[in-house]
Amino acid sequence: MRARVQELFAGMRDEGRSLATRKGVFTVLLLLPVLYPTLVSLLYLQREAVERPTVVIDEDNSALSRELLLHLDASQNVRVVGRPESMDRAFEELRLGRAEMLVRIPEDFSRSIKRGRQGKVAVWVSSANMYTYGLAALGLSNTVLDLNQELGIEGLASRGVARRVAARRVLPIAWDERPLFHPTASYGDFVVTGILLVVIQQIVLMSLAHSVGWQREEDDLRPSHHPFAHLSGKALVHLGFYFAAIALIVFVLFPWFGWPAKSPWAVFALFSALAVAMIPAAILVATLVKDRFVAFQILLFFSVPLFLLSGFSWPLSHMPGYVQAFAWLFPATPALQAMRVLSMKAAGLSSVAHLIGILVLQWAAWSAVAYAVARRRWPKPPPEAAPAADRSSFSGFFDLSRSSLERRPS
Amino acid sequence: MRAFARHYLQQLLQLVQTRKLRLLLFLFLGSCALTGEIYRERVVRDLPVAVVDFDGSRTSRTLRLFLEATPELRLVEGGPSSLAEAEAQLVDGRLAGLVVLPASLSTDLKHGRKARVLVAVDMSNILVGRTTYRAIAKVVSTVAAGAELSYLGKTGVPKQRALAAVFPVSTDERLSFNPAGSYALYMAPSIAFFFLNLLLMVLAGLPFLPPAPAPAQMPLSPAGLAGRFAALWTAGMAAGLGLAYGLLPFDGLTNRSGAGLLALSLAAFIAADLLLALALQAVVPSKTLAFQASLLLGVLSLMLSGATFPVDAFPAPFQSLSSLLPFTAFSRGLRLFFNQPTSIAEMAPMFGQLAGQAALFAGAAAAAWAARQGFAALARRPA
Repeated sequence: MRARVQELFAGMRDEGRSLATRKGVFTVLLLLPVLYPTLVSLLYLQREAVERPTVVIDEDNSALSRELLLHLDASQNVRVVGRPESMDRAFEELRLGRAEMLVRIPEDFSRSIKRGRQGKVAVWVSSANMYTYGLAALGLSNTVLDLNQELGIEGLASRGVARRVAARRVLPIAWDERPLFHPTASYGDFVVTGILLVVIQQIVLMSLAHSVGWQREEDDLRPSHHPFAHLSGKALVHLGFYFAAIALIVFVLFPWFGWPAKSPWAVFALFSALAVAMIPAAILVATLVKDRFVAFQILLFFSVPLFLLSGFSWPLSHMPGYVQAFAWLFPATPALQAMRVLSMKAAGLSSVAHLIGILVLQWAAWSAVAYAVARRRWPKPPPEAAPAADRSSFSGFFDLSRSSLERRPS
Repeated sequence: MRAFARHYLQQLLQLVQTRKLRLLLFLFLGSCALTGEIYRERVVRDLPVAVVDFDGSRTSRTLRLFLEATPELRLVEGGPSSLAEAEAQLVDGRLAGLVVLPASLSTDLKHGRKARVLVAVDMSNILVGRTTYRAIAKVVSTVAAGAELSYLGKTGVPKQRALAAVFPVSTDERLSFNPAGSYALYMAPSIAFFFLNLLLMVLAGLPFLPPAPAPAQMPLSPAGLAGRFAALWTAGMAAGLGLAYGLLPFDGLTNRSGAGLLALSLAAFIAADLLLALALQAVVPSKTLAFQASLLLGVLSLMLSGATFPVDAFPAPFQSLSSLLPFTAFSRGLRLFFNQPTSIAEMAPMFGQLAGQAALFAGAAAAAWAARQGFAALARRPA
């Protein structure tokens, strides 16, 4: 046990020395946590896309069609950007992405309604982007619903029903909408908190792999009989930077950009729990990488799949069973699910206790794997030089070697 | 020409023989396959919804029946016994929505008063929340229309006219480019080709980073560099075509515009993307920093492309940055030609944009290279 503790301190000292000489590691530890979350926050600053561009062809050109288009243009989700002279031109606008919705009002629209028939409006909506499709389609359906209510009241009034009574008889069941936990339903608030959590995950994975990869590149790895303890020591040095990055994100960027967090301290605790849970995985990756570039090259392919797998955007229950099982192997899954609760639903960590429990289990499982792989893959010191190397590594740090303890006065 | 061919072959051999690059290819393919599997169900359905029915009338039973019959929703058996329990279930995600039918629902309808139902939806996931809300709103408005129809019948409006009286304006909605509203078609191809974009950014660093000849020690001639980038372009094409015709069809995602258009689009996109990485290498003084910058741009390119959040909602500087990235033009084009038959002429704007970007990046790389040569010549000149 003592040897392992000594190796932990040796790892810390080794990392301190490495950071002092290899300044590039600071790019990952300092620049990335500042730059990436700020860029992402700026990107989603508007939070919600509004006024989706719409083109209209009004062949009726009646008072009613103009009223419909006026209401449509006045809705938050839709903006009429053009009135092409032909359907071909209108489709061209859709194809080029200059418009996302095309509304065509036929020439008999108003006449049909006056004669007691339905007036049919043809609509083409681009569903290449389902998010903007949802916005544009909702804008149109709300406008048409309101117009139908208005016309329904007028229709009843024309039959002698009092307007007050008619208003109650038209669509007689109304609904009170309660969008819980996230009343604005904005895309930015929904997605950014998750992305910021993934940024921390990537920093934990990349920084250690980058540092160890660089040492390996320069043949500067310290052989050890207890590589897991050694690498844990290196990771502990980085942990201080992770906490600083997390504090920056939670206590500066969150309030600055207004990202939702019921309790900043609970969110800070969750980010920290993820950083700690990722350390064994980072040790595993660091054991395997050959040089500093591999860390970037390989780990790039993890952030997006892990984000998608977590069920943060697409529900986990809608994935095949084996994909769901695979998702629960990674700390990102419970962390992102807990993030959604803590950012929007509840302030206390007790509401995500089961997810934190899963993080602890994952930490233990990844530690076991990392321990086994590191023992096998990490360079061992030559048998005769091992004790000397262990002792020498502690000179000037916490000297816990047997000889130093024996020298102390009782 | 000989230098071009030698470096072309060397680069291809490095791609095939290096274990790290084989792992990279495996990760690329694995990520693409996983994305396809994640969106296998294509649409959101069977979202758990509970009904708290204080009315117990025929109307409330009709509402329950209609909610149950909606594909997007699944009525939870039993349901919560109190509003506090319903709230707890909404917090822990067991419920996506809650419909509360008040005791006065049918009485209000019979007495000609507006009846009100409460619809509470968990909006913490906007995809789930919006789908649930839309489905519930549709059911409630359908039942409301039914109630209005029966009232109109009683006032003597003929049946064939009643529907037009309830819904004077009807919309005939057609979905373009993704007729089934499939999330798989919306997300999977964009994300898969985003992974190709990442792969290209990683590969573009190979001619400059160890163990390849780093320019500091062994400067590559322009022909040698062109040979290496031509090899990377070939590898990118193979990966892109493999993706479109090997992996994506597994999940039912097939290219609808013919191989010629796809190959041409890929060729233009990959060339522009590699030239972007080359320009960064030429302009940024440190090779490592240039590599990291290209990776950062690569990672951000999915968000910047507008594939998820529209570009017009970004702040103006990001809109400009987005228009400079080849992946933005390609992903916009991809959503058109991958989902519906499109001709090459119709894709002219995408090709124009990619050609412009390629010219800009090549020009920047050449200018930076010439400037560096000039400075080196000046430095060599005796004082």
